Amino acid sequence: MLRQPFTAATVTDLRHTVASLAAPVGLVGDAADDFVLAVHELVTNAVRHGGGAGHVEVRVLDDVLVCDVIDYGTEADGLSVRLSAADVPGGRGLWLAHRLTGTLLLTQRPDGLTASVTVCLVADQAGRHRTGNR
Amino acid sequence: VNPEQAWQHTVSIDGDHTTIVLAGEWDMSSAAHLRNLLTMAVRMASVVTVDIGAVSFIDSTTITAFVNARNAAAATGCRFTLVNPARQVHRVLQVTGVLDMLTATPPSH
Repeated sequence: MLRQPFTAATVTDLRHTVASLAAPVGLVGDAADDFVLAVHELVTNAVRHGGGAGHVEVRVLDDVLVCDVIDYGTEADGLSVRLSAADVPGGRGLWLAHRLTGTLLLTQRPDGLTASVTVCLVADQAGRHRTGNR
Repeated sequence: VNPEQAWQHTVSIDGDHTTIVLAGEWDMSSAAHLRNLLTMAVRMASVVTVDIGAVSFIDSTTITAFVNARNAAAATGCRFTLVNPARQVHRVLQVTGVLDMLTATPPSH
């Protein structure tokens, strides 16, 4: 569906591209916004802590939209998925990706990190997509 | 306004009250600019109001800039407040637990 490299200079453009993929597969409203922000946070983490560049892969598997963010530098012991206290400036990126999708998967490879989030494309009867954001 | 640029801001100064109006999308590519903008405002004014009503996107680096500015303001007695968050921005501030701290007007001294 999409395979695209990124650097710090293309983070905003990549977000727009990912956002444009949502509606055609039926992902709209808050669920779309949440998924796009989650992917953006993983890309930002890769740029800031994962060697400055990487690539994203977005695909549909059955009824699930999957995004993998692959970088070549994040060290596993530097990862925090906890929520910072309100007055602590940083450290919310991975937590936010997890909170918005409920599905953050971090895979440490010998040469970097793969961070994945998913969202179910089949809405329930109330029109909500299945994520952790309930 | 540069059409390539996803974000804009205006600053108006009225005595010791500075109002900053942010618009568009703020992310890591504009975070350093935002940090400098807010740091300077907090240093120079005793009341800083940041109107984010026209902001359509923020991320964790934007929140970091807001929290840094709020902490710097708290240390010097400056009143730093975000106002008018739109729906999606409001949700992100709420889910990250910083909404009340950044939008509440502290009692004046």
